[in-house]
Amino acid sequence: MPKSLFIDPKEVRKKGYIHIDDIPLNQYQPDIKEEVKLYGESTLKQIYSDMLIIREFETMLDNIKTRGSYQGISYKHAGPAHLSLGQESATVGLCLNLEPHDLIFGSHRSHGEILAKCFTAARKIEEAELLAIMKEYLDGSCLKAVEKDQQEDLSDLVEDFILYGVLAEIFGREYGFNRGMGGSMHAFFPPFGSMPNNAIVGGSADISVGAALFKRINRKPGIVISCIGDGAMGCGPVWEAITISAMEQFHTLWDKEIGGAPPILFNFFNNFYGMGGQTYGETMGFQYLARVGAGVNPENMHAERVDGYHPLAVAEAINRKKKILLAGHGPVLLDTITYRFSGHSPSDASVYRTKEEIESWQAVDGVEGYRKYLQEHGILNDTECQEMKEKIRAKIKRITQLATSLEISPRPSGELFEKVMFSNQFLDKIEERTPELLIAENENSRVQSIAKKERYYQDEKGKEYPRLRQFTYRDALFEAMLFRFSQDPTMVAYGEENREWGGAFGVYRGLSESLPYHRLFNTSISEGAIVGSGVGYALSGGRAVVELMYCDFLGRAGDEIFNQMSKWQAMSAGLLKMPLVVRVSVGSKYGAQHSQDWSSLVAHIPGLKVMFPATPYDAKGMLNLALRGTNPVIFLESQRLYDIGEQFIKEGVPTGYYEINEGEPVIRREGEDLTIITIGATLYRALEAAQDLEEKYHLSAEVIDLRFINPLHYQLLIDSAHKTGKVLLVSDACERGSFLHTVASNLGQLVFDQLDAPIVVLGSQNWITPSAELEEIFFPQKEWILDIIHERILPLPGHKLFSRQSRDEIIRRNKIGV
Amino acid sequence: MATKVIVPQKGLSDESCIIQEWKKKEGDWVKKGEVICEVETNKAVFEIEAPVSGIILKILHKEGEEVPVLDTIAIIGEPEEEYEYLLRGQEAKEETPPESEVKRSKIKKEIIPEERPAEKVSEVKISPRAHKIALEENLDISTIKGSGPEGRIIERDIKEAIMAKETLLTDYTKGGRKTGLREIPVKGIRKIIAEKMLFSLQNSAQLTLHSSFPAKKLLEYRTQLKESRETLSYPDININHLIMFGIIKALKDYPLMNSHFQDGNIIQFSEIHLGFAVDTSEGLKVPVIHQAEEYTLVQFAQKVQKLSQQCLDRTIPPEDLAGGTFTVTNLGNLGIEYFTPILNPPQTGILGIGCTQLRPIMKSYSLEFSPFITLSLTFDHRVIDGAPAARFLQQVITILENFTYQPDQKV
Repeated sequence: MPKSLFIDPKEVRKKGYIHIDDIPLNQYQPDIKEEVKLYGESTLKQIYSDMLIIREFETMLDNIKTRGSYQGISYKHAGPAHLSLGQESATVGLCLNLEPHDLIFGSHRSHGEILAKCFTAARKIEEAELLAIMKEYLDGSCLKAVEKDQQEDLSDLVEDFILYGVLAEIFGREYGFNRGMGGSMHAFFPPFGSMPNNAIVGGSADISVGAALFKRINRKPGIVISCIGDGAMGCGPVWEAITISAMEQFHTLWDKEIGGAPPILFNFFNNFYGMGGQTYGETMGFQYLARVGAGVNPENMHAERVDGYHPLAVAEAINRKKKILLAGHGPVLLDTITYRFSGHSPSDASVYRTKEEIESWQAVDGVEGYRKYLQEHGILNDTECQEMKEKIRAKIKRITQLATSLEISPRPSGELFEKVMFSNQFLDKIEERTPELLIAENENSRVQSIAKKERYYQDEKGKEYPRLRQFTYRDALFEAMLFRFSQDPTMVAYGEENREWGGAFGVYRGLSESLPYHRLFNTSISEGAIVGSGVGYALSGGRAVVELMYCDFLGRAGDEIFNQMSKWQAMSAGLLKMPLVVRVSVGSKYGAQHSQDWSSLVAHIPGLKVMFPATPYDAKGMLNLALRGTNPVIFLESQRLYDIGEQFIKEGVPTGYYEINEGEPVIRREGEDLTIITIGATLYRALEAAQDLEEKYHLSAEVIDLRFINPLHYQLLIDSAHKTGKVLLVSDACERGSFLHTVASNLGQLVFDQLDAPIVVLGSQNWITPSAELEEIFFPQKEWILDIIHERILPLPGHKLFSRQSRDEIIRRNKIGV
Repeated sequence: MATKVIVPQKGLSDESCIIQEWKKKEGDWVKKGEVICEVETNKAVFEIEAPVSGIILKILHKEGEEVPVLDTIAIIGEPEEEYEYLLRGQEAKEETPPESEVKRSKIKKEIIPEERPAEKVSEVKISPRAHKIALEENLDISTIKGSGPEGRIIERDIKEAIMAKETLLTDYTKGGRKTGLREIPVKGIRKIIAEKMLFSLQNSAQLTLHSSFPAKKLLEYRTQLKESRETLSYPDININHLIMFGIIKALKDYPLMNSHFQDGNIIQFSEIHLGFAVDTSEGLKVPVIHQAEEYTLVQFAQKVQKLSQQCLDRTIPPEDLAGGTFTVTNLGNLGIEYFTPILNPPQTGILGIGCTQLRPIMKSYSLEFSPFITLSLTFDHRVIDGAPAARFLQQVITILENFTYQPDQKV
């Protein structure tokens, strides 16, 4: 779309061939002299020790899970344990050359990665800082549980701290790294660069891209590694993540000074199995996973296969790739081969593979193979090995005792869950520095044009201004966006048409004049990774606003909204904040896949704040609120409303900054006889109906705009229902399963004795949305509002029905499922 | 020892009474036999005396409360004496009826399922909000037509009903006329009369026949009795006594008029218990002369006078206010010609006596003025048809026209 990039038919229609460079396979040449020179003997021994710790840790969990005891400690662990026995060498090799600020995100099989990343990071942190981290983390409760009475060696204490933090988390204990809120598949420890591990296969890919974007855009040091399995290569969002990470604009359009592409390494721990399917030869067609890199960009994503059964091969590859990434030439793909000796989980009997296959991998076991390698070169002897093993067994035994004890390691309370569902902070800016803007605010052409507009829709005589002179809903959103961009240096916005186009509905039109590319950009058509990278950007410490052009595309970002953006604040026990706003435009006129109001879907998901303004005043005040908060917000907008002026606040939409009180519905028209509660654009149809009720039937209807879905304060609704005794709720969402039924049910319980009629919900038909010309038989119309009042609440004398709204219709429609 | 004051059972049919006035309050000293309160039954007001001397430790029912007979209304004893134990039995009796009673009430329910009022109420569809206002305004929802969906009674129906009620009652608060009023709560005998009269009109098929009889002979007979009264030491026998006496005879001839209509049955009485209306300062009272056919004319007149006086003195025993089989009422002395007396249910007849009028009658080609007394008979058409009722009235007229009873004669 950028005009600076010319698509020349002469060029693109030329004959020729694509030449693809070779993709290396297992090219590492062990050289002990070089290795000793590079790492030193003690580090080489440390690598062995770390692998042994991980193996013992996973063995302990295997014993607990399958036999209920380990070294005489009996314990029943009800939760999951996806073990990585057999994958230790790849994990330790991966982390060896990483700095504390290098981040790794992982999968459900990440115990080893957390341990290895934390061990190596801790060894690179100064003693004082290390102590401070441990003392401050969760108010020192984790450290306190593991400290011994007598003075111990700091490196031992750190190891114990890490092992305990992970194990207590796996066992769901309050002093675990995430207060037991995450558990086995989600444990992590940000101070050492171990970031959220994801129980959704491939879930970490787009989140990692967001973290890498955060590093690049905010000039933070280090790289980001997404550790996912070979099975994840079949997941759409993983491809989307790769696509976004490989966008050419980082080189062609972004300022050179930014430094190029986000430093993201997709590390596939390729153990050849995804669940019960074999990616090699059965469920995928690539044969070599590294081949995929060739499909992404001319650099083949710098892809190569690395032998994960030699830790130093992996470490060497990471060293090389890190340089590429830091130079801005990412993304990188690693096909790190490894093998899991145990099943997918303890319930997996491995019936899909032969004993011979497992045994042949055990014969080349990375841990044993590395020990032999060191012993062959005289770096390690039998006695040292024996001492190491004994020490580690004792260490793991002690940690297991601590983590299984309910006295030392209590369980978290329900109250804690309530506290951590939302971070509920307000931050004008997340970092203290000057936000990057290209021009002063008043130089922006949109700002100048808005300045000429009328901020209330009528003149003093009550005459409506021409539409183009009215300050609209989209102008209001623009003002809120530009303001926060000018305050918060970390804020970025992106979507599929965000920059030059200014969004499909013109909300951002003119923003590109003020913002450099890296703060406002277009992405590939990748809704999942758009939201997922927003999640990664936000939890890394930045503010992101991403856009879904149509509410209907929410399904494409289903996992990212339902499992990622909504969950990580709580799964991290409040360690992470999620200042991510997803702007979602609710359509109309565009048929079955572009005109649905899915507010009810997001209302159902715990952990999301959901807002839906219906007026310019609220659009600005509510977006201001969302953009200063630290919570994930689904911000619904209506395409019926972008052009509308402010009809309620006579003083007009303020030019300055203001916020709407969170969760407060608002009365748009006062009345005595009947309450109509709306969400979104139906407000205006309800107001017309209220006018009819007054003129034709002498009834005064109170119209309330809910505007917030979660959180939601009920008091105003209760007061109104007390007054009128009759409540109708209306929105454009399909009636079945509508969030309005939740409000109706709650309100019914709160004001039952005051009701003069059942609380009634009016939604769209439970059909596909028809073409624009037929919308009046699908969406709630003014006439339907009168009809349903007449049929179910208050018969209106002489009323002629326009639609079928009788109680029998409820039975009939449900019977046939529409 | 603390002693309970209980409500005595006076009449046979009384189940409860209303405390009208406490003459004493808690902490007062009372002597045995001293009146401590006045209670009222359906038929009369009577006084309750202190059964023992002592201090009133506790009054258990306030003025205006309804109390079942034989229930305790107060405790008398020594100052600061314990009396709680006396009440426990009573509460226990109320809270947990003996098992046999429970069983009985269960069986009763099974036999008469249609008698459960709760079900009747639930048949009426009404919104919670409308129901609440109806309760507050004391509206009978069974009389209100619902205008909501499915005929549900909704708020606007209740509001209309309230407005209609206010209009019917010619609401004096409308238009700001709120001064110069005295609101008199309807209670005591007034309340009983109000309920009984309304019940009578709503629950019977009553109508009234009017007629009159030439009273010249009867008036002359009465003058004759009056003149000979002093010499023969008769009491004052007035025209009313004579008419009532004649009615006893007519009732003997027409037993169908001497009846009750009760629970779908007509009950005829062989004895005549004649009630008559007495106007007192408290309101209408109807004492009854039981077995009226057993009295001579003189005895009858004396009994009428005695009962009337007791009504005025408020000393009439409740039993003398109960059990009437026919009633006579007289508004003639107030100049009323005809009226429509209201039946005293379950009685099926009441005869009203009007004033004496002079009427011209043709007598051998000349006009002559002669006194007539008017009669108004109200009867229950469910029991008696028009013709037999008219024949009864004719019989009354015949008897009175030819009144021949001597003072010491029975009918």
